[in-house]
Amino acid sequence: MTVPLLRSAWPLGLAVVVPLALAIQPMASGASLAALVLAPVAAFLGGASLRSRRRRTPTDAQLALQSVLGSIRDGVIVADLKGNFVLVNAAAERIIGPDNPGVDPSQWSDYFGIFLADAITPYPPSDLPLARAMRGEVSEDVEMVLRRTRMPHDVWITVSGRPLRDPEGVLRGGMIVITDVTARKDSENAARLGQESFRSLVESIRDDATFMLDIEGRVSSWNQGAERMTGYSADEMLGQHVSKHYTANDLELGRPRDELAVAATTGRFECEEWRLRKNGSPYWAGVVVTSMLDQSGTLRGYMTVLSDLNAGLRTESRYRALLEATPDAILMVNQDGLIELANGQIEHLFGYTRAELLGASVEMLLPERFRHVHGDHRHGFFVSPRRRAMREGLDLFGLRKDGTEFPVEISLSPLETVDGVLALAAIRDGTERKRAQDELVLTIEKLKRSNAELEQFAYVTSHDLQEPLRMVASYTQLLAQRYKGRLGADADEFISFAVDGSTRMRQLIQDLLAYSRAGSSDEGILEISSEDALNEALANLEGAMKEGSAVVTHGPLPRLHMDPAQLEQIFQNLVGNAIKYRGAEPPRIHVTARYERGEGHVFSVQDNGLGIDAKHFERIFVIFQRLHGRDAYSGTGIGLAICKKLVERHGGRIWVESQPGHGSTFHFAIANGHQK
Amino acid sequence: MTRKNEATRAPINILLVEDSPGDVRLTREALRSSTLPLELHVVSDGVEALEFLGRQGAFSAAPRPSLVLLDLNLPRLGGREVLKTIKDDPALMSIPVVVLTTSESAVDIQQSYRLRANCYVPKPVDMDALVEVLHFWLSIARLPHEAGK
Repeated sequence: MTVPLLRSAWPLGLAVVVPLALAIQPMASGASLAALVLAPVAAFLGGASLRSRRRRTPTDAQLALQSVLGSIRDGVIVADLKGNFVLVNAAAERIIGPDNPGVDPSQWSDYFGIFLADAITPYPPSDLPLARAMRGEVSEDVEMVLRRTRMPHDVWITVSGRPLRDPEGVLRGGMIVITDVTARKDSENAARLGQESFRSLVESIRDDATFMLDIEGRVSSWNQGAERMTGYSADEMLGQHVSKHYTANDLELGRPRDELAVAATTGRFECEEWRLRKNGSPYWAGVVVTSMLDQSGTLRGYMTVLSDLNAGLRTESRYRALLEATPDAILMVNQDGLIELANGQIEHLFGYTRAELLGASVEMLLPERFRHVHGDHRHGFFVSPRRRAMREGLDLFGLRKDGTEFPVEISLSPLETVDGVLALAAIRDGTERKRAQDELVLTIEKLKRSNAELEQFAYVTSHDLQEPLRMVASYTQLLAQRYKGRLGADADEFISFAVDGSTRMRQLIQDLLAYSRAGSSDEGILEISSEDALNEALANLEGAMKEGSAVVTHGPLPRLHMDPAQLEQIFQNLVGNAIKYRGAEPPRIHVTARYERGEGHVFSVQDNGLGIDAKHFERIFVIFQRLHGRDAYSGTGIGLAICKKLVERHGGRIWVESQPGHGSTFHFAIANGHQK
Repeated sequence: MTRKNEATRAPINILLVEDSPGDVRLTREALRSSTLPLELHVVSDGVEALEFLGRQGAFSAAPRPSLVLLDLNLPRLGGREVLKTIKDDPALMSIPVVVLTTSESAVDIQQSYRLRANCYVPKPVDMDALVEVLHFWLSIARLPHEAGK
């Protein structure tokens, strides 16, 4: 705490005895101070004799008074009967402003911007405590508001006035003592905001040490933040005097007591000073002491909030480092659309330096055509500030300093700060992503088209092939029926090859048609029972099962999302194959299912059939690939190809495990939440 | 085939609307196995089909067919138009029309029945199948000319 020196206005010809004790007594109210200085000042005002002595050297007592008036928080103004200010101490100057020329008392309210406690009605000049004091009247703690354009905010004061009389009792002037109660007023207002805001206050200061002191300065409550910051537990501190964590130097200066005295007088004390932890290490603390008054206005204790400013600096620098390390370009914008903060990535992205950005309108980073609507959007954000991404459905663009545009992705978050809500915008250059996305869309489009064309091609081709084939097949059949045994053995053989060839070709074309159609007439993805699908497939295979004496069993089978007809077809093909390619034993087929992470539902169809050599594991799933001669087994080699196509349409895969002579197990996975 | 009419009776007239000579011959061959007194009349496009049914121009002496075998893909006037005209005409609507076509498309099937085709048959690859279809219509089903006999 520095003690401001009194200004030159101080009349050095003061010859009074002031008790030295004054300087170190806690000053409870302006009124008592007023009483203490009344007599000597009056004496000064009254005595031409005093002035005639022309003493140039102040006495000890004068110096003490000078020191007191200079260091107290209360403003003191002394005026003569004409209203000339003959004494204005430093605190009064802080409150009413410096350099106060002679102003006629009738102009005081206007000149100093004095209003009644309603903060609207100009104060009647003749009712001002100083004006009344000059008429010999006493005023006690009158509340009023100072409001002037050059002051950042309203100042609430209470003023006590006393007339000043010389030793003969002649009225010589008046004095007022002014107490700045703005802080107390604020805390009263805060208290009125109620429980909710108090909780959020506590929330906001949970990292700080918060504790209460009784009027003597003994700790009456001690929060966790205080434990963390000082190392003292609540048990150790409760009942202890707050001076316990002051440095020796500050103790010697009497700071613990002085600080509380200021808080008691003005409602609030605030400073930065060294404090000690339990282990003796000092830390630079931000200190805010607020007096706690009961309803009658009596002091009940103090609330103290300490923050570790070193920690704050550390946090700040970490936060800075984080801001610079993040790959996103970050901007903070206030409600007026002005840029309050920008990180290095912003400079890089937009080509402006930080100096050019700070304080500038954020709209300069937008292409001209978006600027007129941006203000409304910004306003909308601050009306209901919540986190949001601005990319969805919008093509957003940024404007570089060089005038070029580029696509951006922006996510906005509100940021509560002491200066109000700011918009925090994380901005990403969307150029690459947009390009990649456009390309992806294009590729998918191409792929879809070529797939569709391919299916259409297969369908049309096989369909149109059927027409001439029908002629060939029908007439060779007719030939066989009509002329068998009438054209000679050679002719019979030729005709039978032609009939066989056309029959096979017919089958191939029909299978090709079936393959190209497989999965194209989706019944829709439903939640189905895979057990039902298997049973349907087995019903279709009834003849083959009976003929081969096949036994099909299954374990628990799940419900899943799939086109039921397609699952049925897969089961039918796999079980059908298991029966068809059986070994010496009657076919025993077992179907199981399990769920695997990353695969989905994995079904397995296990048989005791011929088995397959590992070198054919890939080939068997290719359309029209057969491992056996046509004489041994019928079929074109379409079944597994269709299974593969259907499984892959469901985002899954199909594979086989087998050894010749030891049966085969076909597995297929169906992702559950798959794509179509 | 089951004999249900005496050979001496009046012939059963069948109108085949088909532009492919191969298919015409196949149909002829398929009908050859029948012992019924059948008379097959062939026209090769939709316009001729309607002239035959309306006994117009060259077909002024044409008999009223008991059954129409109709291809859908025809020159000049398509099979769908022929079907619609027959079924919209009170004088003709009672003649059964069998659509005989290479198309297996769902659209063609549904549209044909909506136009009141009596039967939709994809052209069989197998000749025996064609014989079966004709057997059904001629020997199992009852045709309009038999009514009241």
